[in-house]
Amino acid sequence: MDLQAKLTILADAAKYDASCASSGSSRRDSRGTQGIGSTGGMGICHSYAPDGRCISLLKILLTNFCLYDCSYCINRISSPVRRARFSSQEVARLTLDFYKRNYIEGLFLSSGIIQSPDYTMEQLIDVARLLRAQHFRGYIHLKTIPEASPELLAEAGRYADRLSINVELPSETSLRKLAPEKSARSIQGSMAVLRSHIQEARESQKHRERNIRSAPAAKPRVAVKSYAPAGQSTQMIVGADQENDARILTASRALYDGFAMRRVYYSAFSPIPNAAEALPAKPPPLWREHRLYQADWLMRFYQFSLEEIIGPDERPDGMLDLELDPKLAWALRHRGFFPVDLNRASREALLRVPGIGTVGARRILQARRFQTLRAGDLRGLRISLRKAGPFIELPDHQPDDALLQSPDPRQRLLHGEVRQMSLL
Amino acid sequence: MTAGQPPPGFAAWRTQVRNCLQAGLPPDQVHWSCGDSQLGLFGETATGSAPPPPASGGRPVNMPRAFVDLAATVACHQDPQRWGLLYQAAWRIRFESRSLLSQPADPLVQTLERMQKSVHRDIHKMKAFVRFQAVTPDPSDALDTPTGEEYVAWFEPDHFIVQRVAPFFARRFTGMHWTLFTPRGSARWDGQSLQLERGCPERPAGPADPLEPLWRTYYRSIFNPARLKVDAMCAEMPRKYWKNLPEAQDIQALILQANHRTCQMIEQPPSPRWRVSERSRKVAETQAITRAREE
Repeated sequence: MDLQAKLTILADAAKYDASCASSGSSRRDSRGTQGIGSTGGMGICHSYAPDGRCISLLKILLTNFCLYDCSYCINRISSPVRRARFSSQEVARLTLDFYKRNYIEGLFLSSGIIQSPDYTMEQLIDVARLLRAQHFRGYIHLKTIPEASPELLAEAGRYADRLSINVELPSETSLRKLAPEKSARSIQGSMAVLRSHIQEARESQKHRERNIRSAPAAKPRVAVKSYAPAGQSTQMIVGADQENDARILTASRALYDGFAMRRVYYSAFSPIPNAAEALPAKPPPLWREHRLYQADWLMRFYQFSLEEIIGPDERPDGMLDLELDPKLAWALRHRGFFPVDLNRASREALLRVPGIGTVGARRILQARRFQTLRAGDLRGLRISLRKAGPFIELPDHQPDDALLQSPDPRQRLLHGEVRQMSLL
Repeated sequence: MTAGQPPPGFAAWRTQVRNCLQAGLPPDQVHWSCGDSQLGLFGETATGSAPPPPASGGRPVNMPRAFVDLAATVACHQDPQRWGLLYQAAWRIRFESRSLLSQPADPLVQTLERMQKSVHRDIHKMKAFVRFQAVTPDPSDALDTPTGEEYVAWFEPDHFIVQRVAPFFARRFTGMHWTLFTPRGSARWDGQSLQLERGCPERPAGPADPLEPLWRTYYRSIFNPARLKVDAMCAEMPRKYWKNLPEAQDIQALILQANHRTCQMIEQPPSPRWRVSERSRKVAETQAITRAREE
């Protein structure tokens, strides 16, 4: 099989992993070496596919042969998909060739389980080791096999910028049902191993910086441990089982808190060719995935709690509103909180206003040190009066009562009356 | 952002600003003109209409760091009015309020921030969408980069940003030799040092890189037809860039086939247990038992 054919199969097999992030690693470049590569700061999206997703990394599988039979996966043993396998050398060469043409930021390598978890993990590590031996200083994300030995987990982080183990499904029951060879216990066990390596490396880095600050002349004595500087991430499949959004977000919260995850990705279960019988016939709406990301964002950057977004008092059915973003939905359930006075409110209160994000809140706080804000100033602060208008007050603006006093504000908002009125 | 060099003309503009401020010339009495030879890479200077002599003994002009940074970026903007707008800001910082830039509601500050943002976006997109082509591709399968491997690229930026972005490529592609041509200046890295050169009005002719078919294969294969979102793609990768991106040739066909491919996947009957090994038969049994227990 030629390289074109292998690439077709093994890129197709990799597209169900949502992550393509190349950000958040340590800053480095190839100055002073004969190699290539740099990372640091924000990642770069080198292209976009017509599915709107960023292409930042060469995202492929080493092989799509697999011993496991996870129902949602196109590579499960019982799937009739065509199989292929790259050699480590081929992947390394392809990564370097793509990188030199500025097509990619680096490699995201995953694999089906072949022979044994340890064997598979060794193959993945081998590619990363080959690349680093060629002075490749670009980004490497390795998918980690949860059942692999702790020694291999320790080694993987020496070459990779990021490691990830997919939790796949929000509950142990779903996992048993759809991914019988996987176990929540081994997944969590390995995530804990990664977390402790990552934290240890971060501590040693901090220690070194402290030493350099206190005695800049002395060479640091202790070798600094480097381990997956961009941390770990995971992915949950949405809509392949019966779990509701509340269960998904609760599981996600536990992953952020328990394992210091950088990101939890949500992947709406996507129809695959030759799907297994155990799967629902229809994919979930992509909006569901989008709403979960919004809720995740509110919890991490807007100081919303899980209960506020999807607690039993807030959303009795445990599902996010598909038609409204979760922040707007919260605002409509808590109309007593509004209007918020933009000239007085705290940062926390500003962040609760639909249409004001973290950047908008910062601009408001900065601008009002010099002047009293009026409605005409909002445009310049890049805040839309159409979105925020019904929830804020300014010396020359009072919110239109029609929305906040309406018996069914959701209906009103969705049917456009408010939108038109606030324009007048 | 990139700690690249400021654009040409910037140093001359700074000197003029210092002189004009010391002479107390208000913005409406200074005319900033650009000698626009070679699209700004060379010879672009900004001059006051009545250039005051360098002042001696006047109060020294100190500008806040934030303004110097903003000015160095806005100076890359292609709008010929940038020098005049920046002088207005310098004047107001000097004679009205040192904290001018902390006032996001001020219209001049907003204009300058918009220009800064446009330059930053251009820089970001250039880092993303430049495509190098191998001049003499290495036919072997060896992993190590042969010394002196030559690459060229062609890009059409909106602003004068080549000198800002070139150091980034030099730090990233240190082990290669490359030349980056744009209509607004070019850059050459020979493995040791970076040269800024004249711009190039159009794409230099050369054979296509034999690796491009592989990249296009990857692009087609990583696309998921069940999630077609053309608007999202175009927002981040506007059509103006497509003509210089090899993979963009495939976009139309991928969009046209997407719906058909998705329907096929959904309508296909569930897979019969094909190639079922002993092991996965056991797995299937376990699954059936678990399911039965749940129900």
